Amino acid sequence: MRPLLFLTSFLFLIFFQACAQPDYLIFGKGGGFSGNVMQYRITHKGKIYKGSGLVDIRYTLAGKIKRSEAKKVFDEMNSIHESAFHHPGNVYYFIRKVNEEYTTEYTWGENGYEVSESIRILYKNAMNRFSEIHFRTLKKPIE
Amino acid sequence: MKTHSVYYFLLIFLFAGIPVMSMAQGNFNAKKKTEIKSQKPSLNATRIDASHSSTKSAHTASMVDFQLQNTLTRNPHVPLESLNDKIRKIVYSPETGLPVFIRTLPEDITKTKSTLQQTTPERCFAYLDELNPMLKMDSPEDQFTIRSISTDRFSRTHIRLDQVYKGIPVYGADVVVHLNEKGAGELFNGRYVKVPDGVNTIPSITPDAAIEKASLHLNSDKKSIPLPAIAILADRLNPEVTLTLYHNKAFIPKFNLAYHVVLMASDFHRWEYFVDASNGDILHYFENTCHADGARTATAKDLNNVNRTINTYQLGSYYYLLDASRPMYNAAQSNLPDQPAGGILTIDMNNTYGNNQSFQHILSTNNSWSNPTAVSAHYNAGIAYEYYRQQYGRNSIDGNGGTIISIINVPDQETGENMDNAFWNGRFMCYGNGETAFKPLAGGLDVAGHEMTHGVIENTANLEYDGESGAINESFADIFGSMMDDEDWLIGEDVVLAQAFPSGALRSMSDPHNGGSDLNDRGYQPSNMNEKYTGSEDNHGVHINSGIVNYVFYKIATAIGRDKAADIYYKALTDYLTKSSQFIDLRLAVIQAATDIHGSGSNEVTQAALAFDAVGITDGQATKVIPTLPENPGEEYLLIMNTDPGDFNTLYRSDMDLNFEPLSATPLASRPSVQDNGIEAVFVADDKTLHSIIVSPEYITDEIIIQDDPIWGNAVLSKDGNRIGAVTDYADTTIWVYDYESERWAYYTLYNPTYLEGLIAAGVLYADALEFDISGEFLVYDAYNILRNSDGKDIEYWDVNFIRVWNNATHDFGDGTIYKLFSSIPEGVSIGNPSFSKNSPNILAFDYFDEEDETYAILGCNIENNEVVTIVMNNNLGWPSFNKNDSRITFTSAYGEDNYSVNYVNIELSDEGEITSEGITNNMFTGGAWSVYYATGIRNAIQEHTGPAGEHTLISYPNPFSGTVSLDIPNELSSQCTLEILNVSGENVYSDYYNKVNGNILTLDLKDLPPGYYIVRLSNEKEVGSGRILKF
Repeated sequence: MRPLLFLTSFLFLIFFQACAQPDYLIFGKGGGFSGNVMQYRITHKGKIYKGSGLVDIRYTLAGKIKRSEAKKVFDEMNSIHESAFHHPGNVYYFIRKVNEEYTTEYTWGENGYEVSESIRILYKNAMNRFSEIHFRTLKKPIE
Repeated sequence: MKTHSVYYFLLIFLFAGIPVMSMAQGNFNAKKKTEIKSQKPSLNATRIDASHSSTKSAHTASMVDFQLQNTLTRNPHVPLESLNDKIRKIVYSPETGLPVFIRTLPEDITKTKSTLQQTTPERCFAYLDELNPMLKMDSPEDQFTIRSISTDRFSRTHIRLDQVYKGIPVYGADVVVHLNEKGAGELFNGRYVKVPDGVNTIPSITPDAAIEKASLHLNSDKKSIPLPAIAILADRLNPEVTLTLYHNKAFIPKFNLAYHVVLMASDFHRWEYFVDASNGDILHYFENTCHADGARTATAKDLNNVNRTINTYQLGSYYYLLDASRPMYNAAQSNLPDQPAGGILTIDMNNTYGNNQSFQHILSTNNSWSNPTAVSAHYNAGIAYEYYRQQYGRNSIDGNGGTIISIINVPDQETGENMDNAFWNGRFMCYGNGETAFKPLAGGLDVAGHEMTHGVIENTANLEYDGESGAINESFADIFGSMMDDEDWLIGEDVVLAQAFPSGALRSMSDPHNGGSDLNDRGYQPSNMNEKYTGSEDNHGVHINSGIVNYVFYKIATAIGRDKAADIYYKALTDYLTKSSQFIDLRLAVIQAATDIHGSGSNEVTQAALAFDAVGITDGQATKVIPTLPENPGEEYLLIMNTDPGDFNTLYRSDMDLNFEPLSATPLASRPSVQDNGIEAVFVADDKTLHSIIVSPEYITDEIIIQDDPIWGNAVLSKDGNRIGAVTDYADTTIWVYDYESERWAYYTLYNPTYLEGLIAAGVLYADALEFDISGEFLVYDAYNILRNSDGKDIEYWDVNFIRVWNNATHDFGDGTIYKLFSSIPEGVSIGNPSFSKNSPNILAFDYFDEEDETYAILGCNIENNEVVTIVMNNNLGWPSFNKNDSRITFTSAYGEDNYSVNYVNIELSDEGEITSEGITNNMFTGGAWSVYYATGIRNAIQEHTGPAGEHTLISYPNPFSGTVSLDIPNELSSQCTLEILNVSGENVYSDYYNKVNGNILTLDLKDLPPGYYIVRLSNEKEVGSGRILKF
C-alpha cells in the first residue's frame, strides 16, 4: 500500500502543478474610437499568435520565440501572485492567464488606477519582444 | 430629549467652565496654519507625486520611477519666531510652488546698531535669510550672486541677483530685493528654482565644441549663411558662450549642465542655443529677435482637401498650432509655447514610440501649413470646443477652461506600426494615421467630437468604462460626435477604409446592424436588448452594446428634433447619470431631463419613453448605486474633547445615556479618529506629538506616544487600524501615511488636479482635517487654497478632496491621485472637516461657510452624483460625525460667547443615497467639542444574504475567513462564468473567468485582500449568484 500511496500522491502533485500552470498567456490592448482589440497569445512551446478584432479575436498571424524565452515569460507571470485587476480606460491594456479551468485577467487604463509595477514591466517586456518577431500569415485563422 | 435633560446637571459639572476657543477651531480662520517650514520631517518615507503619475503614457513612467527613489533627509525645523507677523503678502508660482512675490513690513533698523553698520549686500542677504523659511533655499548666500545695485529717486535700493548652483548660473532664475529708504528689506520678487542635489557641474565638452554644435544646427536648418567678415561688427557677431544650468521643462523636468550659446545669423537675427555640456545634444534653441507676437489666423487644406481657417499663434519668428483666440484663453497664466492656459494646442508625436517617444510643436515660419493631418486635428478640436461652449456654455473639456491638446502621428506604442485608432487618454486626444481599417483618424470631425466627449464624460458623470455604464459612455461619445458632424447618422464615415467596413462607416446610429447580420460582421452592433452582447470581450461590450442606446437617441432625435434630443441628453449626462449608471438609469435620467426642460406629459417625454420601450429598456427601478455596509453591532459611544480648562481631564468617553468616563489628561490639538471596531483612536496632542489611546471600555485604557517628533497637526486612523494618515501643523503641501504592516512611511504632495498636461494649477497650500474611507484606500481631506483671479485679487478658500493613498489590489501605497469633491465652489465659500457616513461609503457630511453673509451650515453630499443637501444650520464649524446607523450626526456649536455645545441632528439615508434631515439642532451638553460617534463591534458578514428574485445565493465557508474561502457553486453557474469581488465602495478588487468549476466548489486565495467586507458575484450568460464575505 505504501508505494501505491506514494505514487498516487506523486501523480496528484504532478496533476496539481499542471492545473496550476496557465496553458497560455495573452497580452493585448484595445479600446479607443474603434474599440478594436489587438492581442498576442503565447504558449509554453514559444508559439506566438497575433490576432485582432472586437469580439471573436481571430489569430491570423503566427511567429515563434525560443522555448527558453517562453519559459522565462511564463516564469515571470507565475512569480506574480496578485489578485486580478480590472480598471479599463478608454484605451486599456491587459494580460490574461488562461488554462482549462480559469482565466485570470489584469486590465488597466483607467485614470487614477495603476496596475502593479511588476505587471506593467512584464507587459512592456513581452510587447517589446513580440514586436521583434517576424510573423507569417496562417492559412487558416485560429480562435 | 428627556434623557438629555436628565443629565444636564451632570454635564454642567463635567464640562462647565471657559472653553478654549482655538482648541475646537470655531471657524475656518482658526484652521489656518501660520508656520511655514522649508523641509520635510525626518521620516524615511517614499515620495509619491500623483500630479505627474496621473499621466498614463509611457513617457512618464521613468519620471515616476525617478521620483519614487527620492527619500527624505533629516529636517532641522528651525522655529520661525515672529516672522509671519511681518508678512503682508505672498504670491506663489504655480509651476514651482516657490514664492515669486513677498512683501513685508520693514523693520525699524535705526534701533539696531549692527544693522546700521551693514553694507547694502549684507542687508540684502540678511533680508533673504529672514525670508528663507518661505524661500526654501538651503543658503541664500550660496545660491544668489548680486548682479547690480541701483537706487531710485525715492532713495529706495534695488538689488538684482542671479541664482547660481555651485557657482554656475541657473538660466532664467533671477530675483530682486528691494530695500526702503532706510535700508530695511521690504520686498522680494522674481523667479528662481529649487535645484536638487547631485546635478552635474563638470562639463564633458569644450565651449568651442558647443559653439560648433549650435552653428552646425543653425546652418543645417538653413537659418544662416556664412557671415561676411565685417570688421566693425566682428566683436558683436562673434558667438557668445556661457556655462549654465538649464532647467529643462519638458515632459520630464530636469536640470542639465549646458552651454548657453548666442549666435548671430547673417540676417542679423539673434539665435540662442542650449547645448548639453555632457554630450553636445541641443536641448533648446530659439530666435531672440523682436517680433510682434500674438494670435493669428491661417487658411490651409485639411485631410479631406477642404480649406479650413485655423487659429495659430506667432511667437518670435515661428507660428505654432496654438489657438489662443477662444474666450477661455488666459494670457496671464500662459507660459508659451509649452504651457498655454485655456488654449487649443496641437502637437506632433512624429510616429515615435517606446523609449524613443517624443513630442514636438508643429511649426511654420510663415504661417502657411502643409500638414493636412495637423490642420484637421487642430480645426476639429476648435469645432468641438465651440459646440460645447455655444450649445451648453461649457468652458472646455473640464468645464474650467483647461487647455485642449490634440496629438497627431501617434503610432502603436509597442510596435511603432501605424495606429488604426484614436483615443482619449484622460488628458489629451491621440490620433493614429490608420493602417488596414482606417485612414488618418484626425480627418473625422465625429472622431474629434467622440474623443473630446470622453473627456467631458470623465468630468461629469464619469461613467465607468465597463458593461452597460461603459456602453452608455461610448454612446454619449458617439451622440455628441454625431451632433458636431451632423450631416448623417454615421460614425467614422470620413475615416474608414471601404475594404474594412463595407457599409462605409464604423457604426451607424440609425441602423446599428450597419449592414451586418451578427457580431462576426465588422461594424455590426445590436439594436435591441434581445440582441445584447453578454460576453466579456470589449469590457463586456462597451463598443458593442452602445448600439442599443445609440439607437434610442436616434429614435428620440428623429421624433422631436436632433438639437432638442441633444439638449436632453446633455442635461441627463451632467445632472443625473452617475459612475455606475446602467441602461435603466439612462432611461430614467433622459426622461427626467426631458421633464425638466419640456414638462411632464410633454411630447418630448413621451417620445423618450417610447424610444426606450422600443429597444427593450423598459420602465423599472433605478439601479441602487449606494452600497451599504452591515451596521456595527457593538455598543455605541461618543468621544468628546473637554473644553473646560478647570478640569484636567481632556478626553471623555460617553455612552448613549451620557455616562462619562475620563480617558486622557493630554491636551488635544486634533479631533480623535477611531478605528471601525472602536478599540483604538489616534490624535495629536498640543505638544504636536502623535498619540494612540485605547477607547473601548472592553480594554484597559492605555495611551502611548506613537510618534514623538513635535510636528503634527492632525492624524487619523484607517478603519482597519492598519494605517495612519497625518499632516504637520505647519503650512506645507504634504500628507503623510504610515503603514503598520510594512512599517513604512509615504508622503504625498498635494496639487489641484487639472487636465492640462504639464501644468499644475496653483493654489493648494496645505491640508488639515482628514478621514479614511471604509476601504482604506482614500483619504478625504480639506485643503486651504489661495488663487489669484483675473483682476489680481487673491481668493482664499477651503475645499474638499480625495487622495488615493493605498491600493488594496497591490497592497501597497496608492498613486496619490487626487479627486476634488467639487470642481469649483462659489467665491467666498469654504467647505471643510469632511466625514464619511458609517455605512454608506458614498455619503459625506462637511462644514460650510459663506463669508458674504457669515453663514455656517453642515451639508451632506452623495459623492456618486454630487447631490448636496443642507443638514443643519450652525453658528461655527461643527466637525460632523455620523452615528453607527447613520440616523444622527453629532456636531459642535458655539454656545454663548466663549463656550461650545455638543449637539446632534436626526437624518435619514435612503437606499438610493438620498439624504434627508430634520434640520433641528438637539443639544446634548455644553462644555465639549469635537464629538465623535463610534461603536465597539465587528461588522458581520450576512451569510443568509439573498439577491434579487432569480438570483442564486452563494454559500461561502469559512465566513469570516482569513486566507482562503470556498464557495458552493450551483450547477447553472459552474461553467463559462465570471467571478467578481467588490469592496464596500463598489470597486472591483478581484475578478476571474472560469471555463469550468470542477466539483462545484471554488476555492479562492484572498490572502492579499485587506480585511473587510466584500460582495462576491458570479455570473454567466444566463444566471447570476451573489454572496457576502468578511475577511478578518
